[in-house]
Amino acid sequence: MAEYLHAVGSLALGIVIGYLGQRSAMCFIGGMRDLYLFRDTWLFKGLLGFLIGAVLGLAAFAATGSIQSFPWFTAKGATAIPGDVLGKKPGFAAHAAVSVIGGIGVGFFSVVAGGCPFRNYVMAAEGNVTSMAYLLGMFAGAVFYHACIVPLFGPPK
Amino acid sequence: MRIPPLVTGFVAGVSAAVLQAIFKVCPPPAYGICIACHTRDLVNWIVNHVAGTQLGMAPVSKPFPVLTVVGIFLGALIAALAHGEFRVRRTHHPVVGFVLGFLVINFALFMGGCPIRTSLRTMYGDPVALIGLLSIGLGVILGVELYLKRRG
Repeated sequence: MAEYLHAVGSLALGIVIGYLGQRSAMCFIGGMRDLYLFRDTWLFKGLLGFLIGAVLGLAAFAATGSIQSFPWFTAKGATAIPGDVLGKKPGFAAHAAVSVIGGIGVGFFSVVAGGCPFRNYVMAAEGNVTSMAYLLGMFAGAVFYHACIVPLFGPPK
Repeated sequence: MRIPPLVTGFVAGVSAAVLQAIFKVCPPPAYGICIACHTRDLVNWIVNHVAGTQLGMAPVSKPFPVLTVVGIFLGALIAALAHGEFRVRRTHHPVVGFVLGFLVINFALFMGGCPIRTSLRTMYGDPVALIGLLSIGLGVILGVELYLKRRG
C-alpha cells in the first residue's frame, strides 16, 4: 500500500479540488486576465488563496518536521523540474530565462484557450468539446516534449 | 451553491502541502499539485509501459504515476452532473483546442510547471519560480492585448 500512497492521495484530493474547481470556476490565468482587463479580483483571489494556503500548509509541515526542504532558497538553486532542459548546473540566470520564455508562452496561449490547464480539465468535465481536445493536445504534447524537445538540449541530466 | 475561488484556492494550496508531507508526492519538492507535470507523468508512464519507451517523468511517478488529474476530472464531472451544469458545447474548433493544449503543456514543462505548480514553487521559496509567475502574468497581458482585444 505504501508504494501507492502518492497515487491514492493525489486521486482523493484531486477529486476534492476538481469538485471545488467546478463550483468556483477557479482559474489562475482567468484571475490574472480579469484583474488586468476588468480590475475584477473575484477569480484572482483564487490565486491569492492558493499562495496563502500553500505557505501556511508548508510552514506547518516544516514546523513538525514532515517537510525538511522548506523554505528553499537560492543557495540550493532552482527546485527540480523533471525534464529540465538545463540540468542543475547552469544556475539562476539560465533557469530564469527558461522561466520567462515558458511563462510568456503559458500565459499567452492560456488566455487564447480561455483558461489555465486546471480550468480546461474542469471545462472538459462540464462538456466543453474544445477543452476535451485541449486535453488530448496536452497528452500528445507531453510525449512530444520528452521525446523531441528534451533531447535537443543534450542527454538526460 | 457556488463556492468562492478564494476558498478553492486555499484548499488547493493546503492540499499541495498535505500531498507532499503526508502522501509523499515528492521528489521533486513543491510537486504536490501540478496539472501539466502530473498529466505528463500519467501519460508518459502509460506510454512507457505500453510502447516500451523511456520518456521522462518525475521520480515520484516512476513506480506508479500520480493520479491528480484523474481526480480533478472526476471531481469536476461529479460537481457538473450533480448541479445540472454538464452541457456539450465548444469555445473554439476542437483542432484549435488540441493545438493550444499541445503548446501550453510544452511551454509549461519547459518552465517546470503549470501556473499552479509555479505558484507552489514560489511559496516554497524558489525565486526562479517567482520570475516564472510574473512571466505568466506578462504572457496574460500580451494575450489580452494581442488576442482578446483584437478579436472584436
